[in-house]
Amino acid sequence: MTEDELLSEYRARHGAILTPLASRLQAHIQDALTGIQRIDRVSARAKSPDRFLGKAMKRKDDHTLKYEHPFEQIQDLVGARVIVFYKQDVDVVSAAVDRYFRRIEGRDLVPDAVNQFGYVGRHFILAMPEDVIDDGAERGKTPEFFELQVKTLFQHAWSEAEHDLAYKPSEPLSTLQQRQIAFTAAQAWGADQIFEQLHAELGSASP
Amino acid sequence: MALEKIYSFLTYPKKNQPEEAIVSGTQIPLDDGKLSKMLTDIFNAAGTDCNVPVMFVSDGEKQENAVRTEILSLLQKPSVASATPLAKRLQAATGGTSGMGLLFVCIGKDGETQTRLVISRFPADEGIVAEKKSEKLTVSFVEQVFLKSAYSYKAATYLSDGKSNQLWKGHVVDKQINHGSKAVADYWIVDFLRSEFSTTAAQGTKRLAKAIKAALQATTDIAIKTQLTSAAQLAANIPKKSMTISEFCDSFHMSGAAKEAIIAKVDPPRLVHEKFRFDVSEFSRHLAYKQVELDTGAVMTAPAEKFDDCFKPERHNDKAVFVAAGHIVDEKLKSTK
Repeated sequence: MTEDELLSEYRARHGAILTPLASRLQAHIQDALTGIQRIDRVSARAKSPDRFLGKAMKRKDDHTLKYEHPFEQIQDLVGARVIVFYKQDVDVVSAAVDRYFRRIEGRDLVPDAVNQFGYVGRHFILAMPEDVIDDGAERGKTPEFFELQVKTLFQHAWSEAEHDLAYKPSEPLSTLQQRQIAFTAAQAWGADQIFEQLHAELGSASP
Repeated sequence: MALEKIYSFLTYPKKNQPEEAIVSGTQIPLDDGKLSKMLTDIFNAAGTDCNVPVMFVSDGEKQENAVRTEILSLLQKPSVASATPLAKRLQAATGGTSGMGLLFVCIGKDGETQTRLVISRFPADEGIVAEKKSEKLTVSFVEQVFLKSAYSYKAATYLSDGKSNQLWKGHVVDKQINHGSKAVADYWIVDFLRSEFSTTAAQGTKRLAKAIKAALQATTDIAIKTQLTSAAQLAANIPKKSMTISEFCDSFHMSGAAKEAIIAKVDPPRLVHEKFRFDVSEFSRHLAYKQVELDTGAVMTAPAEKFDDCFKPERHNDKAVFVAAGHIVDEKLKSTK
């Protein structure tokens, strides 16, 4: 497929399949997590055509395409997020995810070194639930998997701002700018630590 | 569909000796013989015979499952050697109850672009052979007869399109899926294939409970309501066995109308036939309370499994009388029922 053909095919799937699928998935996840305290929000979206193309055209060090079959290999064509108040709540939501979904991957994304600060979040690759796939769905074009991220409010806030800034510069960030971003990540990490501690100390009063 | 390659292995129960080597494996030539014909029939029918969706269980953080890896290697370069890890794995998962078996690994085309793999196990049995030779009948006992047993036949099928990130899902048939013994029930799917039903116990049970709840709200037929609430009450005693929503209805001998009322609330409808392991605690989360309303305006509510203990029903002419006895611990005024 050429770049134009890829984009055209994705646009068609985005409107006809992925967007309605994301909407049903969001409702499905909300239903699965009913009754769990301190969930700020649940959202699901279909990857935008531009972002898809950007990812699909990524190349490896040897300049060959990273994804030979992007529609199958890119597993976050539909992505969902659950944002919770405290770090303890990430574990509660994760346990519910394991009860209701089949996963092929689940891991905590943390910076490589202990003295670094940056993106933090729990990521799952889960099988698309049969409940959100209509009987008449075009199976060959319906993603088999979706990505679910579970994050605290601070992890979410930091990653959103960082993601926004990352798309702005036309040249690499300066050392100071990199330090500033790491500093904000450290602040978010610190806030989560304190809230985790406070919730553990005071939480028994409000489960 | 076209069957292209058949490999066969004799496997022994070696659950406690996982390192034990496979005794023998061979490639079976495809010819006009009866064995080829039987295996071709099994291969061609696998798409419909194997009707239970399963999914490989991930080994952890990474997207890996040892059986899936072995199957991908086998499909990449089919041979007795590349099929042997599956036979060894089956042997290591087989306990004394399941006994000796004959494993067939069949590979062939399914359509223009897909490759189908069918793995089937024929259990060993004892039998008697009677042969008539020149008017003389010879009867002899044979120990190693391998039967496509109606009670213990097992098979699994996977479709591959050659792309990476694929082959996480497959379909199985296992006649012992509901066996009382967990070891027998789990042998094929969990122990050998390192898989689970595509639908988790909680999700399948929630789907059932919500369909019953929605059916109760939708119907005005008291006979149907009674059947649905009775089934929900008795469900507290169901062990963690596998079932479909349709089988749940049948197990309580529901009327056609009651079953239809539940099925109508399953969305999408095909999930009526999806297998899951029943989870009592999940079921109770959704149908915890039974409520009965009388035409006088009286409303009685109690935990579903204890309702009949809390309210003793009696009949006075055509009217129902409920007697409840106990200490008052609370009183409420509510805006809704």
